Amino acid sequence: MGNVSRRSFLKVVSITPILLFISKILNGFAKLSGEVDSGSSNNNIFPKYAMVIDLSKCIGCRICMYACIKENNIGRNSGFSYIKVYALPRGVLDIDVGDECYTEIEEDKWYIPVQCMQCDDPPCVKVCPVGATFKLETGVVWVDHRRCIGCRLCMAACPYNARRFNWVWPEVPSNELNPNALPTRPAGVVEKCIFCPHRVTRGLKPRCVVECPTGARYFGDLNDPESEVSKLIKENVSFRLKEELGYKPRIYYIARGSK
Amino acid sequence: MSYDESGLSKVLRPLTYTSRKFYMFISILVIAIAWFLYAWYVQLKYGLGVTGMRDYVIYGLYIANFVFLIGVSHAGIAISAGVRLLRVTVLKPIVRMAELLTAVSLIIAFMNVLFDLGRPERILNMFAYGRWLSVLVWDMTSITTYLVATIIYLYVTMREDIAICAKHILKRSWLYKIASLRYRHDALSRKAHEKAAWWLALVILPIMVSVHTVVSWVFGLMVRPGWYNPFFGPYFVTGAIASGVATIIMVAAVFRKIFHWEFLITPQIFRILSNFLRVVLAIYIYFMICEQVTVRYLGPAREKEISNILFFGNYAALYWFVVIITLAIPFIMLSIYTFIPKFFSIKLIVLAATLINIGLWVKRIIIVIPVLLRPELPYPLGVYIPTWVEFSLIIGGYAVAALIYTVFVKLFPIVELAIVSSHEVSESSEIQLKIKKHPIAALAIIGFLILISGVLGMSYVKYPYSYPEIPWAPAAWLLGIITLLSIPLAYILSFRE
Repeated sequence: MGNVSRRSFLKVVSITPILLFISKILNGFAKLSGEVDSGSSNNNIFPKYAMVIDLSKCIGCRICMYACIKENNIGRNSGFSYIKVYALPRGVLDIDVGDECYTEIEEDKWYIPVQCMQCDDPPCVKVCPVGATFKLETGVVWVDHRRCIGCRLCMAACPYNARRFNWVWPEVPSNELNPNALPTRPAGVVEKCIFCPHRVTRGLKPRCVVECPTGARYFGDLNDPESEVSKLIKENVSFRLKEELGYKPRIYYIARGSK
Repeated sequence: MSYDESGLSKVLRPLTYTSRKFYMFISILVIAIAWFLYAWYVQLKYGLGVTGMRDYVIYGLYIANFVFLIGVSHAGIAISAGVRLLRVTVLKPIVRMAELLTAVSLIIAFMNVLFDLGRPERILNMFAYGRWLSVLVWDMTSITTYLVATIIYLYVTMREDIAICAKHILKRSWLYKIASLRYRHDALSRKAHEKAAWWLALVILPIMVSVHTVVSWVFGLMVRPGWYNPFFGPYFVTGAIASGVATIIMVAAVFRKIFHWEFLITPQIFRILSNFLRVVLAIYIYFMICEQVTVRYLGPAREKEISNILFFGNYAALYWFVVIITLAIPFIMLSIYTFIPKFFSIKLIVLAATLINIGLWVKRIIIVIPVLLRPELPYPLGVYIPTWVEFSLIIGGYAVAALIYTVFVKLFPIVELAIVSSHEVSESSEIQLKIKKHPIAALAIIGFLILISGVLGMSYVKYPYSYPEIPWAPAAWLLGIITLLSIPLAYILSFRE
């Protein structure tokens, strides 16, 4: 190093990696904003699953809820389900006056089932400190219960109360265990609706869709304009819950005709 | 080197003399800790279901206690750094008590996080898979940096005292010889330590503010009525400083009483601390008024509902207890002696500080829990009743804190010995510190470069699961700690005449 002084050499050597590091971070941020907005990307290799619920057909029987508990090996002692159904008075679209704990089905009420909305811009993914929850290419928000540390920040961030924490070790009678679905999750991790991946990958529909006695639930691929859900959203008046928060939920509600 | 033997021996007395009360106190603490370990075992075995937390009340006493302890940790360094930067020499006798308080309460705060986690054994996932975007990773980064900074600062300011102990306390001199790391007892190294401590104090103050701001963001960034609030940061920082100063008043009073250090911890110290506490308390009360007026005037129904739970609902008793008994009345107790000087008494100030601490502990609970009782989608208003496990773990945490603190006081001087030494080291402004080319400085630079390249290399590792992901969040943490370490290293190890 003939005429390069030691000082300037050290300067270059120490600054270069720092600059590289900063550029790497900025690059990551750019990529990040691009990827989160890719809810409407033109990448059609993967299906983009969504659900449509016809509120004029929902009778509030909660069969989907009980079927879900059996299908997904939710502990019978855990005291939770992925799906909740709210009863609302007629003429009201304010979920804040809904009643989750109704005991009998009434004619002058209407019912709105709520579960994980598989948001396109999910707050739970943003707050997770260890990346235990993340979006799959199909748009489903996944939970890796082997990595989750159980901090429950995702539950605090979720505006739909869609996430459940295993307060106790879940117990499922061995004869009721569903061998196809995920085995029971351990105590101390978070879980939620993941659109029955063990059924969807085999070409079946999620259990709640199949079990609904009135056929109020529809499931399909939003990337396919000819699919049932795409058509339903296009042809009917549809809305999503708490749309104003901007998390882009992917369960659409429609209502057509009388109940 | 000569010292005022009477003052020095009084300060070193806890190190040389052990009474029967000490052993009784330690055995009570050990029993409490054994019970706490059993309760923790129960919780680890059966899951968090043994606590009172359920579906919607996802955070309980643990997190409230964590926020409180982070608050207590604040004043220690705030006072110590303030004393060093502003040269408030009157407060010097309580400086080390305050620093130790910071370190201990941070450790216990971290324990409370472990209690609250569903899978505490996976805590290292925070380092392996940490994500820049998560507010919890910000928390971890700034709290760990703060703890490391506190411990470095504590050591730098007490290294000389440990070396003095090696001469005076013969039965444990081997311990002090090791702990002082071959300290050279001269004016130059004293100057170098002072310089390093000054810079560390300057660096620590912004870290301190960041810590409680980030803790407040765990709540303030969640879009929930009652939490979603841009001024949670200053609100929490003010509350933290209030509870921290109150705790220091209590600790100083305990030392004054137990060790008969009236000559050291003077009424003047209590007067200054209580004046400061009064101002912080006034700001805190002002913030509370601002918050409630904003919510109640034209606020949305959901916000008003939370406010109603506090004002008239299930938590009204606790809320009004906090406002009247533990904020308004102590404020009067702390202010009255400015108008009527004969009312000044240390007992009154300590009582006020105790009330403030109880109140701020309860305040943390009524910040965390009522919001969770009213979830985002409607649910009939529930209740949260903590179980024996929660109380055991929290009391056990405080027992561990007391044990660490007591053992430290038994082993090391809790008051800076320079205060009681009559011998003045020659005025240090004459000594000029010069950089001497030292192999350790070069080693530090090379190590730093290796680390940067390691970080860069790590950032190219693709984590399959973390999406969206900007990799290698703990880098910020590591860089912060290395920068902190570099200050004393630069001054103490590589700077010589």
